[in-house]
This record gives sequence, C-alpha cells and structure tokens, in this order.
Amino acid sequence: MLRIEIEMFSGRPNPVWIITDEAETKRFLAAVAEAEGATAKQGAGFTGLGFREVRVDLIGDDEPRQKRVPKQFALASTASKDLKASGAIALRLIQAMPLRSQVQLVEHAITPLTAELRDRILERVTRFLAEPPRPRRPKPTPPSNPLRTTIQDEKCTQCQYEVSQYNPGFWNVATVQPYNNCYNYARNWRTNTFAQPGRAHGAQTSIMACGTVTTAAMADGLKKRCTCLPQSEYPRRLMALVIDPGTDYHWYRHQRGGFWGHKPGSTAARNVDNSNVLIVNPETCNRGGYTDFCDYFYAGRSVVIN
Amino acid sequence: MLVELDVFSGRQNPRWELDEPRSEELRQLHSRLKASGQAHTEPPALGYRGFWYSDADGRVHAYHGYVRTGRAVLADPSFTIERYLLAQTPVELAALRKRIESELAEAK
Repeated sequence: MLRIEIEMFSGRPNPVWIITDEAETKRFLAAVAEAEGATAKQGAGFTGLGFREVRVDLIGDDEPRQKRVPKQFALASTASKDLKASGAIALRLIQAMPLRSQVQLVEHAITPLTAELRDRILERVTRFLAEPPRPRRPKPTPPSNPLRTTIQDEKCTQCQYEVSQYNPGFWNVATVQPYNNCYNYARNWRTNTFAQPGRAHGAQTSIMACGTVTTAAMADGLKKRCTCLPQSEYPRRLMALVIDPGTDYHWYRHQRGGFWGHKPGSTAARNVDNSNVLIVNPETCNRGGYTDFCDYFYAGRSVVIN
Repeated sequence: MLVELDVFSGRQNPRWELDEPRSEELRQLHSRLKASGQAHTEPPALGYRGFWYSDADGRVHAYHGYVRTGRAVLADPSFTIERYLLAQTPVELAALRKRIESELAEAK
C-alpha cells in the first residue's frame, strides 16, 4: 500500500490518498525504479508557498520493494536529479487520483478529493515543472529561539514585538483543537479552557461589542498598540480584535512572514480568511459577519488568560 | 441527544439537549437520507459552520445540505436536518437563528 500526499497547502491539509491495489502499487514502483534520478528525499527541494512536491510512502513494513526505490521519497521535487521524468510520473499519479477514495482519511473532511481539486493540482504541477522555483536555502536562525523574531512595529516605530513561526500543527490535534479558541491562539497560550477575555480577572463580558470586549481583554493585561512594552515583557504579541456585533468576537495574531494567523472557535488554526486568501491585513480580509474592526493590542508575557 | 450549533469563534458554541421524542424525530429524518455522490461544501472559517450531533457511529456534522457521519457523506438537498435543528435552537438565539435561516434560504 502507498500513501500519496501532494505537498502544496499551508493552512488546510494537503490532498492525500491511499493506494491499496497491489498490482497498481507494483506497476507504479516499477515505473519509478525504471526512471533513474526521479526520486528525491522528501522536503529536500522547494519549500515555499504553493506546490512543493508529491510525497510517496510505502506504509507497510512488508511491502514488496523495488531496487533503487526508497520506502519514502518525493516526486516532482526540485531536488530530483531528473525533474522531467519525475514530473511525468507525478502527473500520471495525480491523473489517477481517486475522486471518492475508498479509504476515508481525516484529511478528506477539509480537503476532499474532487475533480476540481485534481484539475487545479495538475495545472499547478504543470506550471511548476515548466518553471521550477529555485530551492531556498534555509535562513540562518538566531541561536536564542529560532521560532521567534523581534520586529519593529511599522505603525509606531519606537515599539517592538515578537512574531513567531506559523505553527498550526501545535493547535490542530485532537487533544488541543477543541479546547482552545481564537483568544488562546492570538495570545499564544494553550489553556485548554476556551479562554474568554477578562475571565481570569473576574472581568468577563457577555456584551459583544468593541468597547466591552476591549475592556475585558485589557483586564487580562493587554495594552493598546503603540503603548510600547518593555523588553521584560518578551515575548510580546500583536493581536487584532474584531466583532460580530451582538453575537461574538474574534482575534488574530501577527505571524512571522507578514501574515496573520487565527483559530475560529474549536476549528483548526489557519492563516487564510473566509475567501481562503492569506491574511495580510485583518482590517480588510474577508471576516464574514465579524464586520467591526476594533483595534490592535500588544500582549506581553504578564498577560494571563483563562 | 446533545446538539451543537457550530457558529462562534470566541464564545463557546451553543449546545443543548434534545428530548427523546425530538431525538427520535431527528433519527427518522437522518435515516431517510441517501449517500451523496458529490463533494460536500466546506464551511467558512468565521460564521455558521453547521450542526453537530451524534448517531450510533459517532459524531455527525450537517452543513449546507450535506450530512457527514463517521462512515459516509449523505445528501440532504432540502436541508431537512439543519432546518429541524434550527427550529430547536434555544429562544435566546432567535437573532442568530433568523440569520442562519436566511443563509440556508440563499444557499439552497
């Protein structure tokens, strides 16, 4: 059996399926073995946004093996020695993507295997193969905390705060996802209590308006943007508050890379809006009914939520 | 039967218990649904994301005319499940209910 994953998304799960048919598996592995230089180490090629590679994993420990075919490898990767041959095999594989996979995977709930998705993948892979991006060298990371960077606030240059590496995997697991909301994500504190602004300090509100939720959050220690936090408050986050008037509130967190991450209720953490577009500005992104943009806030290490 | 309306981001989603007669009505509606041949609609990040309840196989999610169980995706082109559950929402959620009714009317 083979597990196929199209490494291409950032927020939502990648398209993934299982090939259970033994003859099909054998035929595919034989084609890979024949095309010398087609395989690459997974993750060794292009790692930016968009299509990156097709990942293939033999998922049983007793699968019949072909010479020169590793038990996990990547196709259509810029690290392949023969990208053309590798890409051709990958395209054939994607053409045969099952539209209603018999093996239901949890990823299919958010990324169902549809004809529309298959066509989009084919189009992107074809474009990728025609003009392969250069693999990026990983940037040298600071020794202190490679997942966190201090930046100057572009709206008030005298202030600094920290942006962290987008890491939805931390939140999108069964033991964390249902118990943490947008406030947890934006503050970057997994309390597992579905934290509410002000609750940790007896100042929770049931009135869903900018003023009331702001007051509640400031009772937890949040400061309005441009009230600079000292270095002793490291790590300091930049958060944005929006309101669905009379109904609910929602928070975003500025991430490394210039975009914003959020976690709508008990759903998965992500960095895209209601139009599935990367959030580069929480004031203008598609927020559905959360029409009121309230303000930006800093949250330093002393901010306690529950 | 415990029902959850998946709609909020910051606040806890509304949850309520259906009494036994209503649970049975819901099971009846559910049992009439047929498997869907089409890909279901994915809910948005913010806003109405459907209803959750449970059947013998575990949690069930109903959203925009598709009902996903642990085993299959069922088609509910008339939104019977969602409309039924919407009618059972607690009275304090009247405004929200009205908004979702409009959304379902537009989606159909």
